[in-house]
Amino acid sequence: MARETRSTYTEGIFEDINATSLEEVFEQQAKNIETLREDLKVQLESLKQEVLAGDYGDIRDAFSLLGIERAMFQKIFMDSVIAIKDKAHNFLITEAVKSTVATQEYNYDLYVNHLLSAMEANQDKLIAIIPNEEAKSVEVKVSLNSLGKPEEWGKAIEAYRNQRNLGKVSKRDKEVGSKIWKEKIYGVGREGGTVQRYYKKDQTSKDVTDKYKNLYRDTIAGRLANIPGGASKAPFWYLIEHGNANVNLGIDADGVPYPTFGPTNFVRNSELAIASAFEQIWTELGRETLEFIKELLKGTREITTPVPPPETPEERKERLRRIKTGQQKIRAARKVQAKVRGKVRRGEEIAEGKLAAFINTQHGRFEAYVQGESIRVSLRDPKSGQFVQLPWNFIEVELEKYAIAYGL
Amino acid sequence: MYIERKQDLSIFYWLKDDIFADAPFITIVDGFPTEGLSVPTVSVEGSDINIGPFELGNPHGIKYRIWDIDVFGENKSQRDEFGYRILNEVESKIPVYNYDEGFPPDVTPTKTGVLIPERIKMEIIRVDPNLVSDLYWRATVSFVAIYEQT
Repeated sequence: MARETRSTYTEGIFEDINATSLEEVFEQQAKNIETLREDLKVQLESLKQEVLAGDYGDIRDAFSLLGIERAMFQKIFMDSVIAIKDKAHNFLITEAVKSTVATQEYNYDLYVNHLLSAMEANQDKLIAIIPNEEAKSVEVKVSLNSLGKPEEWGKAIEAYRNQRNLGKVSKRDKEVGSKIWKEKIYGVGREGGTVQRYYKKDQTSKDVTDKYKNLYRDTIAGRLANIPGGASKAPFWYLIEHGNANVNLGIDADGVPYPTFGPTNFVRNSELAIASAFEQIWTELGRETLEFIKELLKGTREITTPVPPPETPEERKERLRRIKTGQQKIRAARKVQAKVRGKVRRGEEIAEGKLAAFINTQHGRFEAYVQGESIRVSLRDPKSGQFVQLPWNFIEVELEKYAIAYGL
Repeated sequence: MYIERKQDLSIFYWLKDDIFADAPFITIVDGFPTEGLSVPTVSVEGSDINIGPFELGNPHGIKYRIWDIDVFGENKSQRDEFGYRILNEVESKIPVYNYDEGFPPDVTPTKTGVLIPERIKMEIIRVDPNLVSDLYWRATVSFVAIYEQT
């Protein structure tokens, strides 16, 4: 039988993630993003309905609309963060499987299934997602330290060796041991190699491969069973992440590891996959939210509030009171506009008191002044005390908006 | 030669001729050293190439690649010194040259663009002394880079 140059992964490798091939793992990764997208789109749709039902304020009011926009972005961002937290483990699992399959030796069902079980057992300790609302992004930190340290894997190998009474061996024996591992155990178990026994006496050889057929599988099963901490630990994750080249797990050293491979960086890749899935979905949701706001601004979206039940006398009284208050606010704002139109001329400096006195309130205060070629009007936020500067061409809209907002 | 290969080589020569030009005793290798590691070594290897969404309204994606620079030092201070040097220098853009014209030192190829590194990270990889025959100290500086043609 021709010896393969590279060990291939075993069939059962994808068992724990309900896949049958590497292609299906890639499909699962795409599906992770798709599920996330679908879930969040449903949430966004429900948010839109709430907005249209007036739960976030009156969409016909320009000022409320700004608030609605902010609230929608905030809510859908936080919903996205919660959703990505919920699905992050799936991303980690698919990255782990993808990377493990890419290594030699660890692309084996016993390893992968043990790794996934340990990850499942430590699910709550592996991933931290920190939202950054300003940047509308997430920072993802994955740490697999709770799965164990590489030296624990070394201990498992040593324990199994002792269990089989192999005990301590000399340097020369280790070199022989490495050769046996490479050709008779790993070679037969993973690379399809054969073992020939040579009989010097009659100068013949015999195929004795069957004797070694199950040795690799038994050895791996034995090592896994001897991991300190049992099934909740998979310390060999370190080797899959950082590579086994330049690391010797022969414990007493001097043995030659076979096969050797470099780092897969699947922990870092998982962090990027989660962050990038979030960015991808957030870009879409953000775009859709923006489109919705535009439709509201253009008035092309209609209010779909269901017909309310007939109001009680108390409700009617309350509604009329609200209308009256609203009308009063609008009248106050109009007064401000009219006065500003009448009083403010280009190039004229306005005393703060003139407008302040005009707005019959103890909450707000305007400040108008000439700056360059244009007239600026500022409004002091009664809460923060900060002045908000308003460009002249927006005064009419802004004044009304702020007058209503601050109950002027 | 593909632009991706030119980027590989540019980082290799950037490490060799710019960053560690004053330290010829360091082995600089293109690709992770899986065999015959001599300490100190600095290796560079490009990882996944991704095309992701760029900005709202732009239908074309942006191509970015992850790079890993591994440092194997003789001791902790050497590892840290090399790692910090790479970390600080990588914050600037890395020039990309047209190696179709030839290789240094015989030829000085024309600069075609720059790699703009983002999401730079330095990770200390703890190596247990019991697990290595020749003790070394390892760190990885990884970053995501976008290529910009000049």
